[in-house]
Amino acid sequence: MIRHVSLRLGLYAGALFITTLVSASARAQTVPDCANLGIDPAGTPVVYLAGSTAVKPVLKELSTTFVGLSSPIRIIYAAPASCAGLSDVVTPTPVTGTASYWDASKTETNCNLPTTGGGQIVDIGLSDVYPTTCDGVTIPSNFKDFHGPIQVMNFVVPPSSRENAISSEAALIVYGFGGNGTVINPWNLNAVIFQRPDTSGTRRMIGKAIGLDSGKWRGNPNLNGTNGTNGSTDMLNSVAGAESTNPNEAIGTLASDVADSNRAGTSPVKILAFQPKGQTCAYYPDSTSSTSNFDKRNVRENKYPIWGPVHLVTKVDGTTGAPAKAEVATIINYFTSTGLSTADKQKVIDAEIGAHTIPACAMKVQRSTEVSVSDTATPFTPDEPCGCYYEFKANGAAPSSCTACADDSPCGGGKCRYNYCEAK
Amino acid sequence: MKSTIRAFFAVTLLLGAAAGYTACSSDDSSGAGPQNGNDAGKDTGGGPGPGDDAGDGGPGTVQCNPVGFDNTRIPGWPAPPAP
Repeated sequence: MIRHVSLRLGLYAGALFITTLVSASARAQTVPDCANLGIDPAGTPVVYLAGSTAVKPVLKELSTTFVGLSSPIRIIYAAPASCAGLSDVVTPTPVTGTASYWDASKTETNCNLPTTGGGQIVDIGLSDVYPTTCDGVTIPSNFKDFHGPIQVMNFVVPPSSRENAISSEAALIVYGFGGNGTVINPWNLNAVIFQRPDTSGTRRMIGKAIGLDSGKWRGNPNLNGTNGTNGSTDMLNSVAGAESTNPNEAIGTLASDVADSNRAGTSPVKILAFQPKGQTCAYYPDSTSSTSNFDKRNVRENKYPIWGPVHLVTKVDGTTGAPAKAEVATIINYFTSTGLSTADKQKVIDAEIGAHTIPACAMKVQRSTEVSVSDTATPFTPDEPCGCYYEFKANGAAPSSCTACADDSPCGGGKCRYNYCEAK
Repeated sequence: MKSTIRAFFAVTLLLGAAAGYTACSSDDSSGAGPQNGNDAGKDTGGGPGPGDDAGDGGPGTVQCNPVGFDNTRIPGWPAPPAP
């Protein structure tokens, strides 16, 4: 009897050992090398980007576009935050650890960055803010800052929060004191006044909008995440998670590409209207607070001022001013809609709208520096406006003021673009 | 006699139920607690405002669409302490 039990235990132990070995091996195999994912045609060039966690949804949408080109390009993304990404590319600093790529179904997957030479040199630094908004980042003369779609930053709260708006002056107190000392109720609990790290573009841009230096932010920096990066997804989890415990006291910050995808669903957040300094009214990024309205009219007209272009910083040829690597130039051209066919421009516009960013062609205002407390923006008419198509794609229907068209004839001297009349 | 006894028990049950209800209510912690601070009741909006084009109404027109934040909620307003 005892022999039988011992034998059985031995068999169990052996099986457990083999299972553990197989399992560990499987785990090791599930994270491929970024330079050789095994899913692309041989010789597919890889472009490495690093920067904002908030901009991931844009890359997710465009990744399949780049893989689908006649000469495919694979993009690999490390997301240490905006300012860290800019620093990585201009220093340059080899990046190690894991990065992300998106497969054909747009599923984000991890891969291991090359370790040869101490890590991977980044081709493009991707930031939600101007390099001058980051500390210690200077763009060398052989690098250039290209601009992509417009990214919008938001204050967010749990869905059942009784608050619907915050002023610039109030946000300065909330994040300048972090719920200690000078307090604006109901944001009176430091543990649920969530803040992103100092290198975050979200934090830096909002800081510029409310006049709070990045080093003076107070709040809980330890967000609800598993990898310790305190990124945008962790912020989302933290604010949405406070719904059950502190719906009124909790507040956080998120870019629209993350917040808009989570106004409903399993981790919902509510976007607060923002009241610029010295004003008496607050505006949502969209024209209403409806969770299904994504028209961004108040951003496109600068009533809601916390926005800026996505920045792509890369090394350029000293003579031509174009990116030094051909595959990097292709990526930049797509982000800036340079030299593309109308069909490809539309693909980029669709991808940018799909990620809840705003294509530059849908903007009615522009500015050449970061948002500030005394914000100004100037009227802007894009070379190829796409405002009607933007609202059609974002909301499923164009506003009644837009005229559908198949050619220029119903456009009264304007131009038919993407099946809607535009001014030019 | 029987009807008197039935009436007595009925009244007793009613009073008992009422007393029990009251006792439970006083111990109930599931209700909403007190509002924080002095901003209770200062609703900042939430419903749709009067149209989509606030701010376009010309000089002198103030329409908050759909919300505004009352800065007098800030301690020390209009000269609150700086962070």
